Amino acid sequence: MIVGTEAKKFLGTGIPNVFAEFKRVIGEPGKSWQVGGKEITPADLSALLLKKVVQDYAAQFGQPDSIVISWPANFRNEQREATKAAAAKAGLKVEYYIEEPVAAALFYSTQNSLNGKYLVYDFGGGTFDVTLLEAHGKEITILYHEGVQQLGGKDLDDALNKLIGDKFTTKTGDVFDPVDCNFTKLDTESAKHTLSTRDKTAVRLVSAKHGMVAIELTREEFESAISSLISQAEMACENVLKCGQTDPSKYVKKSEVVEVFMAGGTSRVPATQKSMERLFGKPPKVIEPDAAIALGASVYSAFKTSAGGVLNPLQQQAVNDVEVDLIAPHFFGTSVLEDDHSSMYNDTIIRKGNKLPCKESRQYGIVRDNQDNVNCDVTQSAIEERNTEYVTKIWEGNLPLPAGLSAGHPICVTFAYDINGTMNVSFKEGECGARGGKEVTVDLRPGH
Amino acid sequence: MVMGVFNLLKKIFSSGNTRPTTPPGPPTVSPPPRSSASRDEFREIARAVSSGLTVGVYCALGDGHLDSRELKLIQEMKDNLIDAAPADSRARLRPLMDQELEISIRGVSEDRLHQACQLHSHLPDHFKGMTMQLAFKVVTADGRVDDREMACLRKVADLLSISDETFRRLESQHLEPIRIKELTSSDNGGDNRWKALDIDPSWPKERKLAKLNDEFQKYNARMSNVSDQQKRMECKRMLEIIAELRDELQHGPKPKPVPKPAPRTTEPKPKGPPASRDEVLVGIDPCLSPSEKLKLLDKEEARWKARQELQIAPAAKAKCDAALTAIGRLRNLYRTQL
Repeated sequence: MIVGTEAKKFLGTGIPNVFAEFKRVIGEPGKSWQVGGKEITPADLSALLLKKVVQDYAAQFGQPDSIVISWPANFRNEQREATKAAAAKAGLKVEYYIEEPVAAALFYSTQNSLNGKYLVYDFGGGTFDVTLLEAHGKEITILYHEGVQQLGGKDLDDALNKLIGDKFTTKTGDVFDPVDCNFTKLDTESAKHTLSTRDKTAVRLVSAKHGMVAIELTREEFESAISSLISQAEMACENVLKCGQTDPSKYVKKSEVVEVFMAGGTSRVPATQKSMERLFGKPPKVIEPDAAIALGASVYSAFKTSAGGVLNPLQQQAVNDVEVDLIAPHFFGTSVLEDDHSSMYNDTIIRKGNKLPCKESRQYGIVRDNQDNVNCDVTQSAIEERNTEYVTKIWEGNLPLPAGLSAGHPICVTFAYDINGTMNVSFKEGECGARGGKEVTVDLRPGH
Repeated sequence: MVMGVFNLLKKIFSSGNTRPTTPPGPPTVSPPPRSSASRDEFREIARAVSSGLTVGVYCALGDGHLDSRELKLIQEMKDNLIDAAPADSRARLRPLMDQELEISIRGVSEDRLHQACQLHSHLPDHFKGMTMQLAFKVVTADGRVDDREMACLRKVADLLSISDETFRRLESQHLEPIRIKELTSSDNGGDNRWKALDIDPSWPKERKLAKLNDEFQKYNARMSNVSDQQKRMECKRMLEIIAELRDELQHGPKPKPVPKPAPRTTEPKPKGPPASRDEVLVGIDPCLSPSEKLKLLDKEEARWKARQELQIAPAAKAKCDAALTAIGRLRNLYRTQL
């Protein structure tokens, strides 16, 4: 198995069994590939990757003391569970999971003392996340986060490839075929990296039909090609300041944001930095964007294992007093029949942004006399969504009812979300708070 | 219709009116079956229960003709209503409801529509919601909605005293997917994009930007939640459209790239020395200096060797062999040019 830059050379060459960007689709039902007659899921590929990373580390430094895995703040429940499953499949004993913006903030907190509201802008290879947090020293409270799942460095590469293709077509009158021109994804990335430091570059395409075709690219052209992608990231940044509120007076003002911390390799692209400067009126902080999350995760790991005497006194001082308050990453709810019986709607029970741990109960009534069961479900959505078509059902089941109940008899639904990101849900016949009554409890781990 | 019939109707089709957790659909019968009603009473019951179907047909005929998909929806609704009646009443209800539907299909006059809506006031409350839902389903069944059909829906909502909130909810539920489909499946530009996002082009810039942010948040969330691939692509396209509109608002419209295809009559001639077959195969720029070419050859050799070691198709393997042989030849050639 080849991973990393060496493996990237084979992307787009038509060679089978080359995989990339599977983090984007991890946990997605039905997503799999056939390799040697075996079905491989994104979680399987993640397991292979994790195993290789740990093997490489062990070969150089010996077995790691503790393992922390980071994931995007806007990862859905099934994506988090699939990541946990991948780690288990790789045979790793993962001590902690940390949200990536928290890790980035922890890293930046080792550079400066933090005091106020900060924005973590994490533009990675496959996903974009933005998190608003409040930090005082190493006490970090997540206020809200937004993300664009289908936005990452890959999309910038695609836009650059399209620009190259358009220029090739203009020059030759033919459609650009990267395979014919021996032009790999690494070449696209290389051109993107050059345009991050220089105003222009040239790519040389060697086409079997047209021979050598030189394409000149300017940063201005590249920035114009990616401007709508940058715009998407900007909108996510403006939306995170709303903190899930509908009343504009409750939004966090741009002027309240002390600093913008940038993480993820795509943050090296000058257009992303300029966009943040334009939006917040001050240049963002960009320190080791590729490694910021990994370094922050290691600070967290060190803090968590410091009781075991892993750290020397200086290191101990650096990670002292780290405290992280997390929030519910999504809206969770259940499907309910409208009062006028016209349709079902999604009723939110736990709101995104609620501090963890949290627990909410809500009481509903059965529809008719002698109803013998209730269909139950647990839904998940990134915004407060009423339309049941636009929420993900993460669990469906049935609560049997005793005979002889009248219409309107109460059903108590309780959602609880613990600090480790595990959800517990119960549907119980009877009033909330009352003892007894038939109950169905939900285990939201995969395979349960 | 005598009061007794209404009471019977209410009893037959009644249900609890609390916030339930069970899926929708016609409620099951709560009292024991009452099949002692006379034939006339049954005719009245059938007429009342069919009033929703009459409204459905009126809306379906809004664009001038009754589509087979629209008729199917109405018939499904009829079957559901019959299934919800007591078992021993179904056989008597069915022919009467069929008859009512046939009359409606021939044409629904304004009088007949008013009567049908009035009958709803004698039915359990949730019948209004079910009828309005049917009206929306019927109108959107063919994937298009025109102004005449919208006027029908508004008229029915008025006659049934449907609240603005419920109407807006149903409108968003049923019409929005059609607008999105129209916008994302064709190259609709200009004001259509604003219209699909429910934005008045005459709004001030700040208001437009705020609404674009809201719409972005909505479609971004939907994209993570819908599993249907086509709907996902529609959401992705909506995100792109929103970003383009925001870009245009902030930086002015982008000039559309003018395609400049090269003349096809003559083959374009690459500048500089022509690449040899070996150079084309390996991907070496003939304009480079011999030392640069040799450095590039080392990189290419490593790449082709790595590729060769993989379990690849015989044709690809043959290409690797050819490339490595070409690299050997080119290396000898460039060394002589140093």
